[in-house]
Amino acid sequence: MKYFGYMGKILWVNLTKKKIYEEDLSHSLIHKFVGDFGIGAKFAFDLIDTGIDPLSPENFIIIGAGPLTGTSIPSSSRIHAFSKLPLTGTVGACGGGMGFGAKMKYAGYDHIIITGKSKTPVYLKVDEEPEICDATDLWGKDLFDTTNLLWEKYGPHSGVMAIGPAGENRVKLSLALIDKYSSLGKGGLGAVFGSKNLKAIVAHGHKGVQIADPERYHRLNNEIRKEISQHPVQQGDWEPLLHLMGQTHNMRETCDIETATRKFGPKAYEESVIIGKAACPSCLLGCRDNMKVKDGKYNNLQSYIAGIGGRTILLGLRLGMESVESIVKGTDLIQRYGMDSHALGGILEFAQELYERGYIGEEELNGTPLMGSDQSVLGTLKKIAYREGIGDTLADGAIGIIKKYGSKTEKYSCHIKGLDAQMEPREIKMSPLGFSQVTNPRGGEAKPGMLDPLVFMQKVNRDFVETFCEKAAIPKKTQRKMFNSKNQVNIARLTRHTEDYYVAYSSLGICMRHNITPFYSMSRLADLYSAVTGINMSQTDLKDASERVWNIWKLSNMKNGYCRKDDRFPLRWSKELIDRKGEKTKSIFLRDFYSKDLTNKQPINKFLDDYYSERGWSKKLGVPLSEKLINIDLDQEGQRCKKLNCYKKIRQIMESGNCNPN
Amino acid sequence: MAVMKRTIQIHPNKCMGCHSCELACSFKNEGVFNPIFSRIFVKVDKEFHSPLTCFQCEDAWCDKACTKHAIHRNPYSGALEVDKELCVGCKICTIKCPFGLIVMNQHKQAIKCDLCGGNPECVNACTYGALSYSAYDKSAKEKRDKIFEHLKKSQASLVLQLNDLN
Repeated sequence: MKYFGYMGKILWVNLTKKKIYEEDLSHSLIHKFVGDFGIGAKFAFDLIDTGIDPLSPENFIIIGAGPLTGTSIPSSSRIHAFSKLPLTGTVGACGGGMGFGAKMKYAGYDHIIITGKSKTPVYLKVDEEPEICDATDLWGKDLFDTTNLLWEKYGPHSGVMAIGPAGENRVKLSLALIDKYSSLGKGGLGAVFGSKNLKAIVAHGHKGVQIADPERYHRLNNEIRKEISQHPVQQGDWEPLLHLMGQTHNMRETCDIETATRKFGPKAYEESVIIGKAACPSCLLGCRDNMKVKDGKYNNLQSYIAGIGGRTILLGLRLGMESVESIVKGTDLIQRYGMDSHALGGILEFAQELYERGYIGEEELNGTPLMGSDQSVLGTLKKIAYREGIGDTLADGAIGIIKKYGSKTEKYSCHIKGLDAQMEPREIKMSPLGFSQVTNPRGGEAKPGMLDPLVFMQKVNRDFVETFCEKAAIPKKTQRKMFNSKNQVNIARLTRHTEDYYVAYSSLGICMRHNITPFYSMSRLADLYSAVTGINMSQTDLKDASERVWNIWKLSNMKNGYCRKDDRFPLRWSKELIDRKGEKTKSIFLRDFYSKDLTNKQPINKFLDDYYSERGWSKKLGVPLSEKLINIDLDQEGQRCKKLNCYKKIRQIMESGNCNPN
Repeated sequence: MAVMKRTIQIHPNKCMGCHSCELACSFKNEGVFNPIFSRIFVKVDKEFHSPLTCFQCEDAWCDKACTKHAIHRNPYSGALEVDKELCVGCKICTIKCPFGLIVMNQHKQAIKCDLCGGNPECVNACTYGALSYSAYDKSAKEKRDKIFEHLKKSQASLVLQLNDLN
């Protein structure tokens, strides 16, 4: 059987039995679930059993690269890893970039599926002869050192996915890094690696990716590249980021933009840090930062990060580090330990508030504050990574903290399904970007909403939204239903389609950063897919497959009891956000894009109802029922859920009433 | 008209390590995405990247070494090209090239940069400006101009920050 685009092989690894074997990638899987994200979601549903402990040997790590990965299509390096995540208990789809995907394909594999637990530390070598290798020497080393050592051994061209001490110590805020730059696994994928005694995966190989229709490929690729090169490269802007994630005091206040920009803005960086850029394979927009401190206490410190803007906001504004140099130091530590900076910010601020309110006692802190200065933040980071003192509690994330200090503390947290909300919707108003965090089966993570056309827009007319709808291949009939008599689009309904659109990108392996998506559309993605794989696919087919994938992802979480009660707005969102920007202090409340109030139960429930109805799911339970599943060709999966009594359990959970939404 | 003086110029400090040039080259010339069949090489040392490709030597080691006389200069592009009909895969050219810029492909024949007949695909693929395709004497003049400008500006200091100039 000849494959185009795909390598046609899945690598199965059982760490307990030290057994490795490969299997052909079946064409029926490809036709139904496309690739990468889609096929990963299907495997997650099939393999990850109901109710297992995420840190037990029974959990799986399912890594997938898309059919376009490894080719020269711009920004086609995204890979996804599915696993049951310890921070949330959800089956999460973790996304990452850099060279691992392409190298994994050159080694001959579309997917790597890992299970079991090794007795001693190991790493996995993926090439023409995959092997489980001893990693006793690497265990305990930080992430950059581990990556360097593996590069020295297997050549600088190999792709390295590794964890740091945080993952080894099963810190639930840990993740894996790819080639030092790209993070993979918000929600504790690092701890899953650690629980399996798996330190790293290194991939390299010499197999090429074949193209079915080179002429068509060449034409499409040139079109996209030409369009990109005619537009100025947009790097992440500083100010919009402040509105999205710059809220301080545990999401109670907006930040002072002027001071923030003076202290930590791009200019401050220019003065103290040399920032070089790096790119993922095939990407034209190099957005990774390679930093070197020019001077001062941390002179010559060099570190690597997927974008320093977000970390500056986190460490500088929210946690109170004092200068850009110390932020580079903090970032360096987070990267070396292998932790998730967004979740860290949320947890530390949450803990700080609990301390201020007297829930966390003075004696627990041992005289060292949690945050507020360089020294305290660096100290706390270390405590969390090594689970020392109070760090042991913080390392269990929001759910762990609430468990320890009582359910009364729940209202101070901003978590959704255990993962701290990444983007704040109060300042920019609720658009699909904010709402997608609520409906994301994985927890409060905003990637599926990144394709939101409304974010940062003050006002939009119907034509503008319709142009997006065309791009995302939303059928005309559905489009009409999404608008009300005032030509306003229904945010909840639009969210469903941004999610499908996100799945289409992710299943092919294309990045969905805001500076890349203007150059793609559903029809272009389908064209590219057809040219590369030789499997004819229309934009409608791709949209349908994406919907199927989202549903099967939801099902694998439904199996674990996740339903409508978990799709909830954090209580903090319904409180005021204090804006001190003007002369007078203002209070901002949560509104939707058209400034309708969203602070009480009724409109929130309406939001969720609309979303479920657009998905064709049960409004009461917030999950797909068998009728819907038959429509989208997931009949068998639905039957399996029935056999496992999932629906019965969920009905009981919803009827018990003690965890009603909001 | 012959455009013999144009070559691929490399500006390493602009390289981001995206490997687009390698991918474009291997696809154009071998029909597959596989960096080992590329005629341009992105060398990597941890975080430092730089592309390297054939300099099209005037008095070329590979040409002189080839006993089958399979390497000829294209009068239009000025590139040294391997004649696939004649190449027997003896690898002597790969040994003789002091820069290591000739390799073997999947058909066991020598492959080297042929400037794509005068429109190099790698240069088209590079959006970061790490590769350019221009006459070397022109680019030498540009560099002289830049250095001169720099000297004019910083008359006190004669220490040139060459990185800035590249």
